[in-house]
Amino acid sequence: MSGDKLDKLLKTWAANRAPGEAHLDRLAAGIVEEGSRRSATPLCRDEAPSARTSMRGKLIYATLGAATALAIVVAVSAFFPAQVEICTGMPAEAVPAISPSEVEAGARLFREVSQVFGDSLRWMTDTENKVRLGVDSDFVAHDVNAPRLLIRVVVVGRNNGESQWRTLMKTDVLTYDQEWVEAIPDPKSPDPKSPDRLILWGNILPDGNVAVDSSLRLSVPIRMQVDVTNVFTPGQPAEVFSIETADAQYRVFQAVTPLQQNRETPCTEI
Amino acid sequence: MSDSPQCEDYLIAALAGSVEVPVDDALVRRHVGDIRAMIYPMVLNDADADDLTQEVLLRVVRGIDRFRGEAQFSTWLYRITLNTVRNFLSRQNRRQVASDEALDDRADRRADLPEELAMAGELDGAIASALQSLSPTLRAAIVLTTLQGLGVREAARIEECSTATMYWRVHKARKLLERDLARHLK
Repeated sequence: MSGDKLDKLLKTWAANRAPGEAHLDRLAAGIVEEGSRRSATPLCRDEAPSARTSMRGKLIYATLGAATALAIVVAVSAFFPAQVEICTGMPAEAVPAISPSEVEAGARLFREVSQVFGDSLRWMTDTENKVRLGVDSDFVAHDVNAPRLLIRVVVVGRNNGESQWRTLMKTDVLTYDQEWVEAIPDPKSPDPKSPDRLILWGNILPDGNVAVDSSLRLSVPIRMQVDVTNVFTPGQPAEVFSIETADAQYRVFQAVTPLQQNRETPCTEI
Repeated sequence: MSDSPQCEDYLIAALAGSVEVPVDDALVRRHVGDIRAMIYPMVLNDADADDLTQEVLLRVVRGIDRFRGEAQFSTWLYRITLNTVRNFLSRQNRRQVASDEALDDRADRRADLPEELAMAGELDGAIASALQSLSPTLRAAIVLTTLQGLGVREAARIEECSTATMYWRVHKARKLLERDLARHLK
């Protein structure tokens, strides 16, 4: 893997650039001399014992301080309960759940397209059935066996006074674990100079959850800039951002799920 | 970096006032190599690395009474080192490439053949240039994880950022380095 090669290259370089023992000895001696020259204060000040702040005293003050801080936090929380968005309370159309059939279809699509583009394929986006590919042939070989992800980003909105939420943008991103995705989210805007951007980076964590760093730059349907980092339970959508204007409300949801990498669909005996 | 019980107990005893610890050779010598190894990839200049190593160690010794003990000593040491380097880089605000100066004892380890020397020099320069092109934040992420061998969680603790953010920094830095060093990675 190129990652291992990079590690080896960097470590070898660092080892070769490291000075020898003789130089380190000279450096250490110089530091000691400089410290003495600056009359470095001994760690133990030459004061009467009563004037010193003992470690035990410091710990007592630290504990009291922490307890006070905790009390303040608890009091504030009682007046301002944490706002926890629970997706089950949202309108159904606003929740971008990823169905098992969509997971299977996404896995198959990514597998088939990657067979065409090989290790040049970095990501795919599907925005309102308009597909864009992220292909970069200049990069070193990518690990095509890396886990794959489906990341869904949905922007919903409604005008003030309306009860129905409307889906304003829905984009599915198919990519590898720990792959940098930079795509133009508006399917009607093929201009690569468009400032609109959807930048994502997903990372499957050791506990099975998925961390996603997102940077959303939109000019339509609303001008917004969102930079968020969240940890998702696979398959469970969550609201990552909301904004209210004078006329309307908007919410951004995300969901992420790993994709199967099996080449063949297991046969089910009937 | 060393977290040996002997070193920590010695310093903690100093905090308690029961031991007087001057800036002595043994204390400095214990950490000078590790600290310099961490600083050099950040500043990519031998003279600056030496100066900053001195600055860090003097700061550590002078500031040991502010070590609150709630983190590992090594974490505290890493933070001081990175903060000192960042202050230096922001003061400098100029691009440096690794100098070609050869330290006396390092030259002894170089390859004998001229061709290998030339290739090694070109590769050294390419790596230094690639590291230089990273922002200090991304460079620190690579130094902590790839070169210092720390886990992402510990690196995140040192840099006081989320684990996810540190994963992103490492990922981004590695991608940029792979791009810049593609020829040497084949």
